[in-house]
Amino acid sequence: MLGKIFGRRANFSFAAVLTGIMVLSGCSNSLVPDDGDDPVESVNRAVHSFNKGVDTVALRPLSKGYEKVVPETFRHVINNEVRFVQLPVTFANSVLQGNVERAGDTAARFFVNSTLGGLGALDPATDLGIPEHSEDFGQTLAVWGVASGPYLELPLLGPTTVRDGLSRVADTALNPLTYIGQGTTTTIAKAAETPVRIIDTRQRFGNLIDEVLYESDDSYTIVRNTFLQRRRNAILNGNIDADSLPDIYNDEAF
Amino acid sequence: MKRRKFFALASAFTLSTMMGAGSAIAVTEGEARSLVENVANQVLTLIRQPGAPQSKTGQLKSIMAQSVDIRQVAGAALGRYARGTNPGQRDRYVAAYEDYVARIYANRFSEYSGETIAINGAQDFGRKGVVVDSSVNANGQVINIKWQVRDNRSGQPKINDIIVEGLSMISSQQSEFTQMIQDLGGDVDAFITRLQTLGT
Repeated sequence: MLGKIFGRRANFSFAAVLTGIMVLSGCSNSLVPDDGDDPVESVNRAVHSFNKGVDTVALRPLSKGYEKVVPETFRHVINNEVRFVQLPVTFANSVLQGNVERAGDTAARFFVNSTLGGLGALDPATDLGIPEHSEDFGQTLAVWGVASGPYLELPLLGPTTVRDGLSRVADTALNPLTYIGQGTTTTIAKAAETPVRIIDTRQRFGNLIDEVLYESDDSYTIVRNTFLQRRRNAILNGNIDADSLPDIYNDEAF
Repeated sequence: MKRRKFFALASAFTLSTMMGAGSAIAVTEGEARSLVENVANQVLTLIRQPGAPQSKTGQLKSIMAQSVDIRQVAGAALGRYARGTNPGQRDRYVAAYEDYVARIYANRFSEYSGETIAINGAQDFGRKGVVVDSSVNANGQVINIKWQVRDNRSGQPKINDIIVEGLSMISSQQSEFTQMIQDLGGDVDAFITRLQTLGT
């Protein structure tokens, strides 16, 4: 069944990616590295400067233009679509993690928003109180116990880890939308998805991203720490693990 | 048989006494919950008040002073550099830190107006205190905020950390501050001076 949906090539690349991740992420043995665990920091910092440059000359002006030119209602629809096309990935990964509740929520959300919501343009699922989740293959591997490997900042793609970066390939393979549709419209829509998602995110978190990139003394550290904390939170599905809670009375009184 | 019964009773009694003593010194889920409710309502009232962000920093500081163990939080945010500081540096740093936090949050609040908060529950983490889980509805967006509440050294429940959508305030500040101090060659005084203008 899976082979029929994904095709032979997808199956092969999926296995290859999985093996690659297992080998490469063996370097670090935690599910989420901490700030100090950054063996390629000097390379990452160089990439960060490049990414920041790209933001200054392209992303920031584009997202400001997007905010100015595109009416709010339309941006809302775009955001609905960006979240809608990720639902199959979340569904597949919820199943792989054995999380029946999240798989059920996501299937229900997909059903409601593809019918009542007009193929994801609207989001009646939220109004009906169906919870929204976000799962990817990096989280699935973490749940399976695969270590994150070192922290990386990739050109244009931004912060990730060895495990999570390689997992993006698997998520594309896991998404049935990768395999359906032909014709010019579908090709354009597929090619536009990533750039649209980036501009949508840049616009929605505009002030926060500006603050981190342009008003802090060392944006690299803040991006790394924020990414790693958010990643731990995603893997734990929003739950707290006692180890990561701060202990302000551990030391002598300050 | 009789002896076994006696021992069972005695150990049950000891256990319950110990547990009773335990809950007497540590904050309960109910106490943590009402502390968070109280603070959240004060902050939401402050957000709804008209006026520029700068006019609200004073009130925010007094809310923090009564509900947050701000001195220990400040110390934790200093990370590995906390130990090497002298009493004078500590006092100046804590003052700069209070102003910084009040300034940052007052600015952030200015983007919001009609927020509501719902407390979802509380979870006991033993030695690390109780974590209260809440959802803030801000302009139609639901933001998850968790509050770590723990007894301070005098046994009063205080907020230790605020975790917004998985981001711990202490962890974020510790990472930012220690990097800044490292870049300043370990000069804590220079860092305090910088902190006084950070986010202005």
